Amino acid sequence: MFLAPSLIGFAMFYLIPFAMGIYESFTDNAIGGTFVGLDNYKELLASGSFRKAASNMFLFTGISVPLLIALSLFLAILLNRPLFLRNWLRTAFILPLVVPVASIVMIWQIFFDWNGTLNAWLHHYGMARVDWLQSDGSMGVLVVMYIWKNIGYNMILFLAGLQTIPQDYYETARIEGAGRVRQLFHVTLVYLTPTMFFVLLISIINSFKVFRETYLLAGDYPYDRIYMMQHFMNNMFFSLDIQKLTAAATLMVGCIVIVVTGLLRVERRFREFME
Amino acid sequence: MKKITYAILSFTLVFGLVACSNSSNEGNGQQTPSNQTGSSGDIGTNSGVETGTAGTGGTKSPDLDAKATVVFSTFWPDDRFKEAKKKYEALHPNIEIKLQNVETDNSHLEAELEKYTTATNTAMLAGKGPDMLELDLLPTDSYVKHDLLADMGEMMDQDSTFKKEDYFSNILDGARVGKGLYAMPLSFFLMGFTGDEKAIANSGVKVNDKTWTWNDFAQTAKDLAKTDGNTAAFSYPANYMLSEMVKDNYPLFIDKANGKANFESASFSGLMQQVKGMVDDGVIVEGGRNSYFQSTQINSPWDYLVSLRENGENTKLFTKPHAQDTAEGGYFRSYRTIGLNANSKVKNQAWDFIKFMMSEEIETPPESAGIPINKNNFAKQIAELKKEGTVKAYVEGPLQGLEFKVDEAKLGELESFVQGAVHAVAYQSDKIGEIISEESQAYFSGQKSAEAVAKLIQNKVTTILNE
Repeated sequence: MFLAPSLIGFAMFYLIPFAMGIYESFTDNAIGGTFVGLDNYKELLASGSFRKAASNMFLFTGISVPLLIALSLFLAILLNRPLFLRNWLRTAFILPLVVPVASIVMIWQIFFDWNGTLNAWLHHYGMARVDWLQSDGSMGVLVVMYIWKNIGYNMILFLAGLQTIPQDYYETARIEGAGRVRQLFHVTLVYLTPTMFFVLLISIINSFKVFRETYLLAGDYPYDRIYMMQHFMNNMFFSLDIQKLTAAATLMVGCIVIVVTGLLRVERRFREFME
Repeated sequence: MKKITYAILSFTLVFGLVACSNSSNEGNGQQTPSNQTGSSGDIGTNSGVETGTAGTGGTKSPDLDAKATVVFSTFWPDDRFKEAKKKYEALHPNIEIKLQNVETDNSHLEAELEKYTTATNTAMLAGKGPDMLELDLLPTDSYVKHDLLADMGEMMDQDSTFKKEDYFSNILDGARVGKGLYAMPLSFFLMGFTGDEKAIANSGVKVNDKTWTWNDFAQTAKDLAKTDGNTAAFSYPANYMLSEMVKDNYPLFIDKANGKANFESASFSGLMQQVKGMVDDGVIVEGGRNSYFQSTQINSPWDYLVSLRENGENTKLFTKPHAQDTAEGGYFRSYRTIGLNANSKVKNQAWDFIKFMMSEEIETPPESAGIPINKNNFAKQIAELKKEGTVKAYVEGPLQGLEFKVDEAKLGELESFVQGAVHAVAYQSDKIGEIISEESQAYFSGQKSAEAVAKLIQNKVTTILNE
């Protein structure tokens, strides 16, 4: 009952348009289109660029998310103990979150451009220049940028998680003779698992959003290694190909829903196991 | 409890993302009708059907007498359209032309233009949108592909009051996409080369601009450059030259049907080396030095005289080389291109207004940008220039306001160029050409090897072809 207003808003702006989008993906023209079944999907899957975009997206998520989680967890554990300038350090890691994307991208662009800072340094030390954003290593640039941007947020989540673990557990573990490593794996990580699921979920979803940075960094037709799903959708939108666009969106949502439900199910299992 | 919170949170996030990827689609669709055509919610369905006010000419189709509103959307405010609207409304009191345009300034231009394009795109796709639109800045090809524009060629054929012989049929045919005429050029620019006729004659190199392709031109340019070490043949950026040469040999590099590009090939690196060689040998230069040929755009009969004169007294206009597998003939770029929404309810009225704007009623002075599509208007402009006898160049221009005599023979030549222009140049450059010229820059400046550039072009073009 009390959810009604937000539910209406949610339905108006997300659910209904999305349902319309799904419908569109089965028709052949935006105006007065007829039902064509799975033709759009067939055409979509036949598109080499779509497959490229999909594999890039999975590759990116596969590389960046584990890296990000490992790094942010490490930082959180580090910053959870008394440390010189601890509060300042914490703030410093959050900062990338509040800086507008456009200005971040600007800096990164200047840094990684063919005629940019990094290449100037390389040149200075007599090494050959690399066109970072137009090479097979271009995804590395994106991974670095993604981690840089999201590490602070994940760190905060992990810090919060770490602080809910009662100190007694560590004490008990210590009394029973567990070493540092053993404590990390059998106390910290185990009790951090619920947080871990949440962070994992958010990281995956954020990794899908890396398009914004990529687009600003490399434009609408970047090197194909960083050609993301949303590049495809964006270009489809500009060529007014709403059918392929909605079909791609539907497929993507399908994938995300599968991943998310899978994760949630595993989490539920884990919870039952803990209780 | 916590579990539920997580679940809700995550689903909100999931849908947030969906909305993100989808906002370009449905989000805009929701917002644009109010943005673009909101003020004129139901176009042309005004209920008050008044019977024809007498005396407005008898040759119109019957529904022109009913009351109607035609919405005409342009990006720029345009005085010519305002004038046409006034005149037309005076002649047809039952019809209201509603002009819509975007008010913007230099600093917001790009953002506003993008907004306008996206808004118009979505409105059109939703079956709404204005009745008429100026297509100069819009993706006309996509509109045509999705049947969003009405075929004015058909209307032209069926309309007995439309006298085809009054218009430059080569331009109208050149503006066609396939068989249909979806974008009506009210006026156009000529694209061509200017060259010093006397110097070329002195060099002894035979120039055949009527039939040359870019490949032929490259050969001619080489011969020209050999004759005089101090004068280059052509002033044109090398990367654009390369992109033109690729267009010349399109099937060699692009296999659209199979989605294959062929840039990592000997023929492409050969072409790159050829263009690079032309730069190194001083055959083509980028501005600055003297050259036999320059690339130019002729905006009006007056501009024809002035810009030729700016390049020297013996300057002549030459036809631009054409791509190998296309017909001979010059190039034009349409200006003030009007499209008619296929979903408009007032198509007949809109067509009548377009016809009116093309007609002799809307006269323009010879200085105004765009050569008129109407032959009689064009003839009037020429006659006016001849009558005046002299033209005065821009005071701030290179001629510093020089007044010089109108060369009637030269003006006569202009007409043959206008008649000979058959290829339309797209307003927006095509994506593939853009990539070629952009990526090859690093090669021509000596920063990257030909292989590296070819690989990049291959990579990006493949993505485009497979979308």
